[in-house]
Amino acid sequence: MRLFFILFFILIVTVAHTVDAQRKSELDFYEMINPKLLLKVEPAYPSPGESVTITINDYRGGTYGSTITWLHDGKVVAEAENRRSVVVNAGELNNETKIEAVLSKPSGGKEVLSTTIKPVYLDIVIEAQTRVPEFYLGKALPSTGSMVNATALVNDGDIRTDLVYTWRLNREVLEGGPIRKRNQVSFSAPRDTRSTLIVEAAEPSGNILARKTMSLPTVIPSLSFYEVSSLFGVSQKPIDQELILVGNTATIQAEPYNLDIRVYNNPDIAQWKINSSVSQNQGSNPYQITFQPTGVAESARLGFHVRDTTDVLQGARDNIQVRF
Amino acid sequence: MAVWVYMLFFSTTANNEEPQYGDLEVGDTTDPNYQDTINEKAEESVVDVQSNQRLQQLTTRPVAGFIELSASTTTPREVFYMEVGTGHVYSIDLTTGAEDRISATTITGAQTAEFSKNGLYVMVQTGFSSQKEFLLGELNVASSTLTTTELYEPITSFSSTNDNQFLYSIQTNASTVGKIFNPTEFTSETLFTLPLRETIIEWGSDVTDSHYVYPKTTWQLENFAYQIQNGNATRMTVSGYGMSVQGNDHSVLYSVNNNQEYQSYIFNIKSKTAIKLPTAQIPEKCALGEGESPVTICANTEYQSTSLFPDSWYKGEVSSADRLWEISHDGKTAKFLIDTEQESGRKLDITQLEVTDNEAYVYFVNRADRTLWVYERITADVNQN
Repeated sequence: MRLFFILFFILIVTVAHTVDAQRKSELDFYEMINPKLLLKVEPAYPSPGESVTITINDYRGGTYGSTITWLHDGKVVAEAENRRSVVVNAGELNNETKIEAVLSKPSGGKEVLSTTIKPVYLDIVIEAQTRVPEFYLGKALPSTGSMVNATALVNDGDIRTDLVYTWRLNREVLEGGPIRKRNQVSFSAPRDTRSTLIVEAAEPSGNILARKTMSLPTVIPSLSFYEVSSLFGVSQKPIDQELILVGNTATIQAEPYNLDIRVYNNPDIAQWKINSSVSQNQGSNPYQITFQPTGVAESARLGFHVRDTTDVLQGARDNIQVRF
Repeated sequence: MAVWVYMLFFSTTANNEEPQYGDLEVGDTTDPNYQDTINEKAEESVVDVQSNQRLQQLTTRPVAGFIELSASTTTPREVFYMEVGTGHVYSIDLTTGAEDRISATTITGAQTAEFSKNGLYVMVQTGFSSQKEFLLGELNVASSTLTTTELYEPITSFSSTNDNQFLYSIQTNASTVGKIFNPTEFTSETLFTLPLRETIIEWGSDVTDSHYVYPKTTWQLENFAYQIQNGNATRMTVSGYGMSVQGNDHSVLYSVNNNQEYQSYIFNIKSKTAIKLPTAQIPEKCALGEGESPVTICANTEYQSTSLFPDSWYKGEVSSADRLWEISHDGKTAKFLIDTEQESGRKLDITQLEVTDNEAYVYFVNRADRTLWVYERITADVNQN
């Protein structure tokens, strides 16, 4: 008897599921052959003040012969009369704007399509864990394999911290899926010179609030050379190809730009060369060299090479001419 | 082939246990880096302020920071400045040109300084990276000394206010916190917190003024800015690749690099509209006055290429021979003021511009050697009228 009830229950559930799936499948099929008239908003999640294009998505040809009137918050957009798309301003932060397309059919009927735009800011802040000189005012950029911290800032009048974030780097979903209240992710910079980073911010209920796609650069580290004064410190003006030695000695500092901070702190290779000779004199700071010329030569080539031997793209090499 | 003799590597730290390089953490301030007073009188020099030239070089020393003190019934108009590296403080009498060392206290590795408006206090950054420290100095002109006190916070930027206080920011694990510091009472108060770490802050002249905060910028990434007023942070509508800003309560001058084309705009805070400037300006080479109809002064060169701006200028890769321009209030016209190369015979890369309260003088620093200069915007004759 008990077995009979169990089998009966399984049968009922299976039949119900099959009927439901069949109905859904029929609906999908119906929509496929007879799609709805829709308004397509581009960009889908605009920022305040951004230009937004709204287009009638009419795959079934249902607008044929219709007069199209666009309404922007109830007011007719005269210049968009009988156009399939209209360009409007997204409006102010967190303000809802209603856009309607009124289709007056030749047969006399009317169809109204509508959508609302509620712009919020979604900014992505990239902070690469790479080295730039302290006096450099600009931003450090990711280089191959370096760690990158990305922070999403959603602002709808307040900076929101209670949202669910989904991050995608190229085709990979970061953190294994959506994460709540964590607007920051860390990842290794890809080898591609440009990657696509996408973040989607949604309310805990699932309502998507904003989405942003950005192009993330990965650069090759570079070197600049700076003179160091024992009194004034490191000059903020790089040596441009050539240094003319005024005194008897000069202290030069090699400053890597966008080198992985881990490599900068613990380089496998950190080597100064004068002409083709490797300097054997390694002091406490491998990025600095102090020297004085002797002999009759009037110039020499001073070079520096820093590199990680396990990731050969994490490195930089350059040289300058020193005249005396 | 030349024979080279290497000397010892330059060493700035005696303690080998301390990181010598590469530690980007802000060092603590438990190891004071300044020395006691050296009470020797510097040789007095005279700056030529009698000439009719409207552009004058005020210092040959590199300048960490400066302030112009307005003339009063008892004191002449003068400039205080701190020398990079030594932290010595000098005054220049702008009437006679006499230069005097008013503090012989050595602050080794002084890099950046901000004087209070009355010239009594100075906030100083010494060193870089893990060697970085912050001090508050109180000037004792009678004894030619500077009494210094360490500040134990990871400060990232600072500026003085009209009421002799200091605005400053600190960086935490996930945010930038803006504060106000009273040097007389030695108290501080939090003004705002933003969930951004590596930021640039354009401070207003008073705690109630607008302050502008934006992430460090690059032409390769889109940037944005927040306006801070009365502790409230408002996301501004201005944004763009490589964007940096200068602003006051009325307007913001900002530049963006769109598709490797560098362009500048004036954004009116009240009307929330932006007007494109006739020429591209680097905001860090501009100063906005604070009068009722504030003047905007910018330094500019006919750059060969601006496609990598502002990064290439930040790196010092751009050759400059600046001219000074005055941008009209509505941003539609630019009036030529002076060709500094023609006037001085030197190629100047102008930065740290400051317009005096009466908008008669424009002070600036030449980035190449960090010397201090002044341009007389309104001549003394006109001033007296």
